[in-house]
Amino acid sequence: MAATVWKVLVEEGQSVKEGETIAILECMKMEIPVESPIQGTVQKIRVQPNMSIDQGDIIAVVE
Amino acid sequence: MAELHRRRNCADNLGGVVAVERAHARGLLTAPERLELLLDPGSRVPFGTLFHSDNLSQADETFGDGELDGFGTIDGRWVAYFASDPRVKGGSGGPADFLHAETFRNIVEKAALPLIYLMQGGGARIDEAMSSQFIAFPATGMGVRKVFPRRGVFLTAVLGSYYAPWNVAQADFSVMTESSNISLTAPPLVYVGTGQQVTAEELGGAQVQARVTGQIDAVVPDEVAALAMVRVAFGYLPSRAGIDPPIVDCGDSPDRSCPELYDIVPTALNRAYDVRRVITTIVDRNSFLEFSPEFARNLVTGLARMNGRTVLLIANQPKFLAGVIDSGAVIKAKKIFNLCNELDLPLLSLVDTPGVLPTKEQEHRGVMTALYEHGIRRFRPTAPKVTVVLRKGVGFAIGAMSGGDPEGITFAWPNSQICFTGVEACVRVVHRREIEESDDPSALITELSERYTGTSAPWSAAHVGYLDDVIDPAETRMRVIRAFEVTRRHR
Repeated sequence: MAATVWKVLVEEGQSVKEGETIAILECMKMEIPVESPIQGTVQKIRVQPNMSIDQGDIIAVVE
Repeated sequence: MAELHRRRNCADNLGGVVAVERAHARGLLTAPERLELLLDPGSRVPFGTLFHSDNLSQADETFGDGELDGFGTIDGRWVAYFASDPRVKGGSGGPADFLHAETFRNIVEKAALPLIYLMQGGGARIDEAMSSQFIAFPATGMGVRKVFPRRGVFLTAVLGSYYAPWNVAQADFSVMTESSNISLTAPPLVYVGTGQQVTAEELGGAQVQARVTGQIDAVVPDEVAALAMVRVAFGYLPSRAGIDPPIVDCGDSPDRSCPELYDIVPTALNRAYDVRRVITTIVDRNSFLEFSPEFARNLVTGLARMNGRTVLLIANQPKFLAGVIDSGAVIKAKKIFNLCNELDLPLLSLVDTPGVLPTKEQEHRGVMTALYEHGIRRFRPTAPKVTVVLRKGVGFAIGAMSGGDPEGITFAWPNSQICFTGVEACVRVVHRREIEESDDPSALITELSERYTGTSAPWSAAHVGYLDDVIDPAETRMRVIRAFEVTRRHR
């Protein structure tokens, strides 16, 4: 669903664990954590705070 | 007698060692091996072992005509089984199979026995089904079982490719292996009919069913896990509608206090958390069996036990899509309410939702009609229903979660907020002009928000009896168990 990016908690090149929160979105007056589905390294961050995004938009690339 | 022994020997050793090795080489088990894992040792009672294909020249190679039927026990309870037998024409069905299956199902339905399907097959045997007699075949399997008022439960395990999977659609619980697939028809027929080129996995593989359609309750790595899961799931269910499931005492006291809930659920209404931590805290330890965890993740559903007794469970999931109710959640809840209604199982609903997802896409998917039909399903069950509003209960979503049901018991936590729409949405819409004309819009918004937050607190509803009580979160397990205990049918 459509949401606003509230916080980005990681940087490109950072290692993340499976389930680690990489960004927090805001929608329906709720904070919605976006978790990494895998353990890996953040290759690219494609959003920034206050940006509006929709379902299917890529937030970050983790490999 | 010699002919009887010869035929039985053919039936017991279909395909010989070659068939066994062929199955194992594909990472699969044979039908008899699957039944060994499914049933209690030594309990199997085969049925109709000597029927075969109408093609008499193939009689010795087609005993069972693609299926093994019979009876056995699981943890001491009698069940009927229907196992695809790929040793015969890939497990596909022909006219003899359809008639035999109808006879078998009639026996099972009259006895109201649980029925377990172990499926791996090619659907209808096309060349044998190209007769106008096919008009009778769909009636034997589609929806007939829903008509009988006293019926055994229905579980299906998909262990390979399986087409026209009505047994999945009808099942009270279904599981498939990661390498299996289900779809209405096979890719070659899709291509011939429409020109669409698609693989079986793309059409209906395990990940498609788990994440996109929600038509399967569980996906497991392999057949051994699937058969084990069927035994586990059956343990939660009654043998038939109208009787209680087995009571399983795991030694978890019904009076156990749950102070850890104070930390699990944030008091700030906008902070997300994993509602499964709430579930596993209040139900009997290690008893939660989640359904379709990858589909409509904004709603968590499944089976659990409380004080040893089975309960159905639905819960908004704040950490995914804020716990909204959308068309996907309604589809997922439908399964639970159908089980509640058809098997008379009690239902626990945990509510923390900011409302129905208000988007153009949801409207275009017919969310209004889906919610309305869901409301009918919600009111139909007469089984006990207990609802706990953990934090937010907003708009029509709270109704979808069975909150405020006059035939159920509804509790709320002290910090909960129950209202027609979100407080900020109300303030900004209802008082738009005042805010625009105000010298200090921010202060006015704060003042108005505090006013509506006050009226949304649970005390107002408790005062007039729309809430049956406001409870200490730490007492949730005890209060829910007591509510189910006093409202269950004391058979």
